[in-house]
Amino acid sequence: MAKFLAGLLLFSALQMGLAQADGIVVKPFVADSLSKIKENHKGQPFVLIFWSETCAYCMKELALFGKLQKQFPDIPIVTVSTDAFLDDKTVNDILAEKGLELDTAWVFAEEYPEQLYAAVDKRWRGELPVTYFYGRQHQPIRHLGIIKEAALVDWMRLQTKP
Amino acid sequence: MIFIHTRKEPILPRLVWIFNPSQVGTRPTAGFPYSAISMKNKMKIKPFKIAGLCLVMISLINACAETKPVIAHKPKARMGHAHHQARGVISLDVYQDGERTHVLIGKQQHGKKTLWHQFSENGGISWSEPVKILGQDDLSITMGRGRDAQITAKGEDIFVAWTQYTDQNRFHTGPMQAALSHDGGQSWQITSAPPDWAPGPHGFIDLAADRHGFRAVWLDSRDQGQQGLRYSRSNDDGRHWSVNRTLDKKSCSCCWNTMKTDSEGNSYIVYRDKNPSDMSIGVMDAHENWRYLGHVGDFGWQFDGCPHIGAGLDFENRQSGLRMHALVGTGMPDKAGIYYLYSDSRGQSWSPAKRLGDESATHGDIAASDAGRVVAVWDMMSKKGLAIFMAESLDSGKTWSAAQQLSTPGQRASHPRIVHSANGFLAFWTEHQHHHSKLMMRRL
Repeated sequence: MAKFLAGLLLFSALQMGLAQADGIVVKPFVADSLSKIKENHKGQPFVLIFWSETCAYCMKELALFGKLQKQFPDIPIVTVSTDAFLDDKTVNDILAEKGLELDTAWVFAEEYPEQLYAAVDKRWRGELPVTYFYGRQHQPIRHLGIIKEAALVDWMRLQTKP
Repeated sequence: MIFIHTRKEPILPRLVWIFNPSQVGTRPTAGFPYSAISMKNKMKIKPFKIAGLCLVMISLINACAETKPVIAHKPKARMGHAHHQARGVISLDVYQDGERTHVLIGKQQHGKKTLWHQFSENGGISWSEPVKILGQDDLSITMGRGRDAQITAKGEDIFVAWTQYTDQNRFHTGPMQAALSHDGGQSWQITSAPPDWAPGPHGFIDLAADRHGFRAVWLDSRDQGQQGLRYSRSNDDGRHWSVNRTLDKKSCSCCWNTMKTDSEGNSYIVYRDKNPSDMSIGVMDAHENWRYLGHVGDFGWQFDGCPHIGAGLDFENRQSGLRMHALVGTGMPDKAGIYYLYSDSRGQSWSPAKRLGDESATHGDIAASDAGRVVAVWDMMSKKGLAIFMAESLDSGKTWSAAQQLSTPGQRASHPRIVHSANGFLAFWTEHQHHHSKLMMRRL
């Protein structure tokens, strides 16, 4: 019985460990999610990336952010997949493959994505990738298309200056 | 096929019809899609006591563990593609061959995909019985609006092509596949596809026909991974295809191509270019000489990304010669939207771009009659999401009417197509509600 209990304890501990390492928490991105994201990062610079699993440029950009995240760990990166209801595993797999270490990620959770495009930016018609750079004052800089590494590094360096 | 007369518009006193998708047969789902997991319980002693002990232990451990939530916050909406797969019509192509209007409809029901062909010889008043391509109840196919399966026809010979579904590639896009009918669409057989680069993927196909045979364009990345515009021709009604030609080594990787053939056998191809990402046009003449002509709309849009926006093109035979009418989209900041242009120089130069719709206008198509009537259709945001709009010109594109909504108010609609049929203009689009898409048609 003692052996069995010890085994059970070990099993439970392992289960908890696995659950903790289960990966990124995937949240539904709806019309008011952007304001929640901004609220979560109040007074702090962050990068907001919109991507899709069918966008080759997005994959390159995510990999670039995966690389730079290690260089600038203090600048939060927020990712939003525009593939409506993309499953958690795919989100986890793609972001892990691109080297991004995140606690949470967002996925479009409306049947018709254009309603969320419009909620984010009235001018946005779904072109990808789209990246928003929020400085400390949260004045966003919008970049449509893949971003150049040098420009990204410059912006991140600027944010880390005291 | 049943058509329902739904309403008359006071401004456009023409009929509205709805394709009834329920007329197209589907198979019921083949059982519960998940397998039950069988657990072998080898413990033979006091199962209830042990289970109770386990529960207590796990609860204690979890309570003592940490304060950070371990289990992911469960969204209110159910996540996962399986629960949100579109049903109904998910792909549409229309081709006008003389008096015949052909439609190729892609459907999805219970995860199974099928392709259906129908034609009308009286401008959409009546339609042939739908015929399932290859008789297949579950085609392995990747399709959706903007990357629709394609059709072309020449008399009784009809050729269709699509991108095969595969698990091997990231976007689930595989090689092109094709089917052929020599009896006006009554029976179908698989045939060789135009690409001679077998592995693929091949996507964003367009097809056209002339009196000699069929032509195909598509995108693939056979040149060191760079997506480019490829071309092939069949002179035996789709049985065999010529050695492929690369028309542009570097094109946009995700926008649909448009190919239209004039009465002299010149095929004009409009595709999204790179550097800048404006629409380009070239012509493959009847002798298979390719000539790049230039941009259709010089927006100067530099964009390394995925716009998913193509163009519409049609011809008007005037006394003074051929006039080409084009509808192109751009995402150029401050210029985003849909633009109309015409060319009297066979695509070498174009009129100034005229914006139709607002900055949210995205996917469009255009058709013209030889009497000078030109009709443009596009989707753009309405109060309730994307809706279909139209505008028309009665003077060969010089002046245009105000935009007017075509689709059902309150229903999300996208990706319109239009042809000049035997009996006026026919506009098609898909409308979506509660994950179900239906095909809509309206005579204009």
